[in-house]
Amino acid sequence: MTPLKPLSPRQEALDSILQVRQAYSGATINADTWYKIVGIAWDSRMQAGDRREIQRSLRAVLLEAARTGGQHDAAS
Amino acid sequence: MQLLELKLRNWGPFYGEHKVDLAVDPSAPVILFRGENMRGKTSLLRAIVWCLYGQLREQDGRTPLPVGKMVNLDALQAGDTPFGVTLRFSHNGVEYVLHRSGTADSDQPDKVIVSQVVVDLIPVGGLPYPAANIPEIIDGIISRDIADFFFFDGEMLTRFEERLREERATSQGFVRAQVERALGLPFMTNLASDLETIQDAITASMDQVLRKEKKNNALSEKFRDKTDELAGVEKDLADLRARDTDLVAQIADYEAQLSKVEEIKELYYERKALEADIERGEDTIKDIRASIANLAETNWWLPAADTLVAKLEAAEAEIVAAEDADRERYKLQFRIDQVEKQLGSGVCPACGQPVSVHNEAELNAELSQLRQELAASPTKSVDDARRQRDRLRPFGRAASVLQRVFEQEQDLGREKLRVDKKRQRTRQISEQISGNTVNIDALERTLVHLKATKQRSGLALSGLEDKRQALKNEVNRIGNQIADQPEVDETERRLQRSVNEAQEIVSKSFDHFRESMRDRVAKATSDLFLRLTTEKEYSGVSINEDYLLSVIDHQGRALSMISAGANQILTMAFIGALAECSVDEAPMVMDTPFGRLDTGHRNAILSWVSTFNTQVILFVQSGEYEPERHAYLLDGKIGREYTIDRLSPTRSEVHAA
Repeated sequence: MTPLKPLSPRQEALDSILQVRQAYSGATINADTWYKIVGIAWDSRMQAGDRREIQRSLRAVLLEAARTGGQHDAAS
Repeated sequence: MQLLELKLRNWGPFYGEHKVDLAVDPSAPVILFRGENMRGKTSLLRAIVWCLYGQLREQDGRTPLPVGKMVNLDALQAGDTPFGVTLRFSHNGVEYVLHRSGTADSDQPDKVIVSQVVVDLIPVGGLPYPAANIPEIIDGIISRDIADFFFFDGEMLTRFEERLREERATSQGFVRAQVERALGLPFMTNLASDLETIQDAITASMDQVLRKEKKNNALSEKFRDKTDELAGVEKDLADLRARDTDLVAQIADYEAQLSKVEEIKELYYERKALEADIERGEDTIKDIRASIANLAETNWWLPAADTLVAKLEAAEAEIVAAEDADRERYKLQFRIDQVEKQLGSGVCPACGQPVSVHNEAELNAELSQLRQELAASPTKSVDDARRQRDRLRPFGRAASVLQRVFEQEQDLGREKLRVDKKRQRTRQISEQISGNTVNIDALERTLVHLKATKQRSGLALSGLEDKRQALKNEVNRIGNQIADQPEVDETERRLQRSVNEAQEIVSKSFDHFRESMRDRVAKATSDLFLRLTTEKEYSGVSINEDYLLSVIDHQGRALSMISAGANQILTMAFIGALAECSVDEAPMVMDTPFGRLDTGHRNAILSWVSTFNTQVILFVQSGEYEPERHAYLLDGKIGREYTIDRLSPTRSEVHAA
């Protein structure tokens, strides 16, 4: 609405998650994975009906994270 | 989202087909529609809302408005029964055409039956979407739940303003749900729910593997028992939630009915007062009629008043003439007496000198002359004339009696007119409240009962949610035990732990996210309120957990009482802030938004609107906006300007200004 927009709500959500993650003992999911998770969930936020496809996408991202075991954590 | 074009057919006062271009450039995104009341401004706003959502609400924001009320009556009378709205808009670089139409029919006045409502949504250059998917697609572009923040009229603003300050639980829930939807918060609850589903599936899959080994049967049974128990609780929870939602809807419905009844109550009391006035008016009419009748009876001669008055005037003239004649006769007689005396004594009675012979002859001639004159003079008695006049005298007030009769006739006419007007209004009210068989007491009792049930339902829900959470934790704990078994695939195990971790982090992040979004909207509301208000004693706005608003003074105290104008500005600031913070971008469409505002506030809002770079559509009437006085406030941001002109009470047209 106005030219001066702070963080987007999506970024705000990601920031909230990353802040909690920092205090989470033994966190294995890295920032890149969280970025992908938030992206999938945000883009499908209006989908009220069948969410199986979204869940499959989320599972794939988490599976990838599980396989790498928290490696390649560029942002943390 | 930007609206590009609106097409109407037989909609509201717009008979036939009408097309309005709405495409604007970000450098001049304001579209003005100027039109006096009853020209069709609200009909245009409703056309947009109905086309998008297929539903309309009355200005209270709650009561459903049947679309039949929007059908052009001239068209219906002419047998032109199709009606509809087409909206061309763009969203995320894609252009869409949304068309919603129906057929109207009417078997009695004021009752329009709508049938064959169809909706099409076609991306330009693409294939139409299946009709069943359209609501979800539109909801994804601009959710119905938050449409009130973008498409609102001045009257709805007042209702919204009331809701923001109401203590009613349902209203708070309504505001909270709408605001959180606008801020994108449901995305995180959806994510948590998706993660839970994924986790359940993973654990179930691991359990399948585990069951193959007999030694794991006990753990597997335990897992299945708890999962079944959890499923039972979740089913109960779903039933209870559905019941709770139903209760909320019922409460909202009863509140809407009661708010309607409030209007009816007012009309009822107005009619009662009018009926008392009419009774008094009828008494006055009777009194005036009686007075006129009395005047007519006591002045029975009035029809012959002209003749009688003429006779009276004649009698008075006769008296004057008779008196003049009497005076003349008296003078003659007096002279005769003098002359006779002079002749009899031979001495002048005046000077005592002897009368000479010559003089005697003259005196005799004079005497003879005088006697002739006396004999010739009229002998009518003045007494007769006076008697005649006295008989006619009462008729001399004919003019004043006639004036009184005239004045009373006028009073009678005025009173009749007043009574007739009151009777007319009484008939109008009777029509408005006819068919109202609402029992207010019963409504209020039911509402109290529903609220009590809702409270109990809330407690039961909360208890069941706790139970579900405890069971869920138990299932997760067993799930972790299952994952620890050597038979489980390592990647599956790690996936289960990752999902667990994701779930915990998401659930802990929700409050932080909600708080940061609430802070954001609170700051935006406060900034906008301070920008729009003309009062200097306010330092900002605070928003509580239920998004109830308070204005803060310079000592940091929440003000319990602020003016109606300040309330409207506060609501406008909140809606503006929500539109600003909303995750959806949509045009702001405001119908008659300045109704109750003074010049200062109105100017501040127009200046604020001039800062927009997204589409704004303003419907204004001359009392709110005058081009020569207010256009400069929009700082050259007017991209299009239209006037809504009235052709007849049932027909209007939109023209470029």
